Amino acid sequence: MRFYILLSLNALTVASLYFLVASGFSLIFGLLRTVNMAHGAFYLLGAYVGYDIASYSGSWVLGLVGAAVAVAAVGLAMHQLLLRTLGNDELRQALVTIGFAIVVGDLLLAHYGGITYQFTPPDALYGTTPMPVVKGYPTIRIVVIASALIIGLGLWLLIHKTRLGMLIRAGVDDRDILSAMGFNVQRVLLLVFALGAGLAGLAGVIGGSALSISPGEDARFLLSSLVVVIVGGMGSLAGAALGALLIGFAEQFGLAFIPNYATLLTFLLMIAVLAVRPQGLFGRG
Amino acid sequence: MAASTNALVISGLEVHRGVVPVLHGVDLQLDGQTLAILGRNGAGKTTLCNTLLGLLRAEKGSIRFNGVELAGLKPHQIAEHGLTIVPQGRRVFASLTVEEHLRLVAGRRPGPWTIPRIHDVFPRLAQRRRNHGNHLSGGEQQMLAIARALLTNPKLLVLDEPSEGLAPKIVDDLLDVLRAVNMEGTSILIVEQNLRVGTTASERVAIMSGGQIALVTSSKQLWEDEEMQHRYLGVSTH
Repeated sequence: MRFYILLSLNALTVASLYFLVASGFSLIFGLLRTVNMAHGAFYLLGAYVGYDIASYSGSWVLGLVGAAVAVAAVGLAMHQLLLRTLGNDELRQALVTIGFAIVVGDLLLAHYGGITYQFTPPDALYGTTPMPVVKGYPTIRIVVIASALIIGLGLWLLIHKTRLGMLIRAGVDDRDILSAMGFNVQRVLLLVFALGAGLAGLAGVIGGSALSISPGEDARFLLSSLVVVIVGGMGSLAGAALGALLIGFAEQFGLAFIPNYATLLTFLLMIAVLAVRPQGLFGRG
Repeated sequence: MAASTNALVISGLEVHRGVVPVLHGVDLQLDGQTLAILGRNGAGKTTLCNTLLGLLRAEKGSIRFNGVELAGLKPHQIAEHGLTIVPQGRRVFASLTVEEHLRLVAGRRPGPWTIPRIHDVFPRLAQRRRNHGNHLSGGEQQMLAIARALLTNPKLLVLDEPSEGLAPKIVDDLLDVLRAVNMEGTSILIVEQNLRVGTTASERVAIMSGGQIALVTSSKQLWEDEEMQHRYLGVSTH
């Protein structure tokens, strides 16, 4: 019993991280139709930048906020300088963002080296939280789960209860008609791009605190984001949440019971969804 | 009436789709009234609508509205000059409720159209307030698309195939609404494949063929001249 609960908690933690990264990825895809292959690089960049800010200032929270803002700014710059000139050519967008991701990844490697970094979160987030049955669970992992819940709820409120959210939903449905109704869709797109990138940066700090920061994490989180939105449906928040949960549980339970084939399980899940619902579980055909 | 100032002058308009030219020099004028554009499938009617709204780029020529050049402006800038569209296939936002559609556009430009007035004219939309755009019938979607356009308080309302897929009774109701809208000073450009709807909506009709305006005539004359209908529209009986 204890084992299963711990395993589920681990799966939830991983799913939460995947959701934090993939929600921004999905949001950007839904509105901009841009497959931002640099999203993983945004995650890693956020982790390193957050680490530096947290080390210099001694404040983990400042690192968290600083990483989100910095990565949002880098995302905006990438969008304005590189993506905007490409129009709606998805293949080119994918190629250019892959290129951007490689450059960012190598610059980070040159600057930070190949060693693994570990955040020192504030004392309140350090240690173990007592829990029934399993006795205790690392506090930082509970923070990861809680932040995914908070960010998820925040995004849901933003999208469903605010005027900006109405614009975002209308833009996902039909960008052209929204602009013909007098709305500067380009501005909404920029905002969403910055928001999505900032979320990746924020997730970098949270993930870097719960796990660690090292080269290669960018590819891992890009891949997981891709799988999550393929399973959940591109552009859907609920889809990203469900996709992240499925992938998180498949991965952790797979690692526990069939460690040799755990990775396979994730992709089998993806193939199964693609075969039955190619648009994803929450995607619109 | 303010209507006479809402003058649209299109001249020498050429538009490509990809590399294929679709409009080959369209010339057309509209001055405060309602004008119907009729034409076969593929004559370039929807391309013309989308170009007017800035959704397609004009290769050559000009679109002047009240003296302002619109060709080359972005869609949202064109909307600020008072143009709006009821697009082909309605294109209501699937993930917005009826109420959200109305709240999104209402009150951005001053004018006679407000949400209470929309509810007066289309009581059905008030009843369906909480329904999402994709959970409406065709007629309701068309009402919503028109309501959405009217709430921008347009000076020129472009309707692309408004009768498509609707029952004749609903079409007649829509035509009544359009007549009232026009009386209040909004110019209307209605693009149709349906001869009856086009000629009922407007006293003047322009016939589009092969990416050009082939002729402008009165609705009465077109309705009575079967040979003309056959030549331009491919219909021989009403």
